[in-house]
Amino acid sequence: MNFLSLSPFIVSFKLAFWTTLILLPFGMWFGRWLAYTRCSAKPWVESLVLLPLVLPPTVIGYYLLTLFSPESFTGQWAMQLFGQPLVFTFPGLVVASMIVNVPFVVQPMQLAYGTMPIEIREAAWVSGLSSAETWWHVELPQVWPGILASATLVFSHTLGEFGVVLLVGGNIEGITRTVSIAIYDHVQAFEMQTAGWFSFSLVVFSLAALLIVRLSGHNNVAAKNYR
Amino acid sequence: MIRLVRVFVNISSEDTALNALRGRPAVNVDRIFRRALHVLMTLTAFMYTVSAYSSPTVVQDVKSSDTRTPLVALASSFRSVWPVLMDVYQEDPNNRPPSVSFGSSGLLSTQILRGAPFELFLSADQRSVTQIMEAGKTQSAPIALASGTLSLVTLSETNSLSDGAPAFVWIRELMAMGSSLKIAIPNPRHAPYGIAAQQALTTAGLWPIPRGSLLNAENASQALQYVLSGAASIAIVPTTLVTQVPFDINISTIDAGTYEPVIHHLAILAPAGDSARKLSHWLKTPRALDIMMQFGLAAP
Repeated sequence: MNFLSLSPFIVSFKLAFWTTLILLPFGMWFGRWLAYTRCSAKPWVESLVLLPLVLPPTVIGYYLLTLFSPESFTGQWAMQLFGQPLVFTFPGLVVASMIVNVPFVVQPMQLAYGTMPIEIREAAWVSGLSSAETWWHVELPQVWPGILASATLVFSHTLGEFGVVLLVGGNIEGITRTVSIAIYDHVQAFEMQTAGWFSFSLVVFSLAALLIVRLSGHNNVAAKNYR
Repeated sequence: MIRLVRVFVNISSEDTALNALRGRPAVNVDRIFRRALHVLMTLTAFMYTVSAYSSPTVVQDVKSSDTRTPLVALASSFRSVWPVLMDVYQEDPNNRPPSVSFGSSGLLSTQILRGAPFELFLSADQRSVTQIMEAGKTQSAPIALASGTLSLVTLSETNSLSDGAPAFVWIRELMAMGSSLKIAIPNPRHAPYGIAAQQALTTAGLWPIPRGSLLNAENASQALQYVLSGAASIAIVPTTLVTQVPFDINISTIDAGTYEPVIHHLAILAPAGDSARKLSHWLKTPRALDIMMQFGLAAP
């Protein structure tokens, strides 16, 4: 095979798109809560959020495979919710990918809120803005770089995710075979050239995604102050 | 209120004063509102997604018509023979080419037990298919499709093993010389050909292989990969994987009596539709068996 099949790219981009889209609002809310909360369980919550970052993808994949299996109670429940099993289907892959990406969306948001001077919010309140108005008109423009960083991290990390996708998705062409799985599959099939092209395109796409952030991030506050 | 916000946003932007000093325009409020609008659009799309995924309309149809592409799980020992089989199968324009997923028989059977929507399973052993049948995931009892043998392969350029030489004699000699051999076999914990390879090595008196010399590959195909890449000097792989391949390798068939035969089984799984059943019937025809025999498999 000398041509590259488009379907892994479509699956990868669809997966990255939905993961980012669904996870971003959650990350914005959760990161903000983590930055401002005085709850005593905060270290526990933070550790739990970071867990997917340090666990091997196969461990997460194994747990998700067990959790999503229609044999299990949680799997039955998910089946009622989604109308189909979560293992080896695209929606299941989206859910798995969201779980893996939680640290990548929460961390930058927590950082963005954490570094925003508290006086800005207080000034807004003093000026008579409600909490919702403060969030909309004041906080959001301030944490925008964090949102952008979260979105890019999640998007590019999803493009590269392998272990969880293989275990939960099962390498089914056109449904769960992402670019990284396709690379593995072509290597196993001794089609090194095709694997090489897929790898190269993944490097190009990931680099492009990161560049977009860096290029659009040049108007952030810190960078300007250093200039 | 708008004016208040406008004044406030200007205060809050730390770079405003600096920019004013440098003669740059103050932070454009419109731009900030545009950004906010983007976030609003994201949220809207999010709501749409949630509703879309929870409604059954977008759910992929797994079980309805028989015009869909059949989904086949294949032991990786079928890697080389499968494309040839499918070329012949598609000579009849009514036959739909299946979507395939290769893996080790162990991994595939785990996935099937956990609800993978595969319709056919071509396993390299009996244990996996029996397990699946006992779990009630098959439509009928699995049948033996073909039996496979083991071969020992090495890269032609790196050694002097000639085709057909007694494989283990050669390994034993090299090991006696203290050579730091790396032997790759499919993982005997879950790959059927790995179990056979371990049996053959045991019969030859070479098991256990010294620590550091044994490479457990994830599946048969990866074991061969290790030799092709030079990571291992020797691999014990299914004969069918290395028959009719373009690589420059030496192949030596391992004496069939030294391990239990590896019998490939075909299971029609619970989700199988008409096109999957059609394919399974064809795989049992003499025509298909003939192709498999060209690739080093034998009638069971």
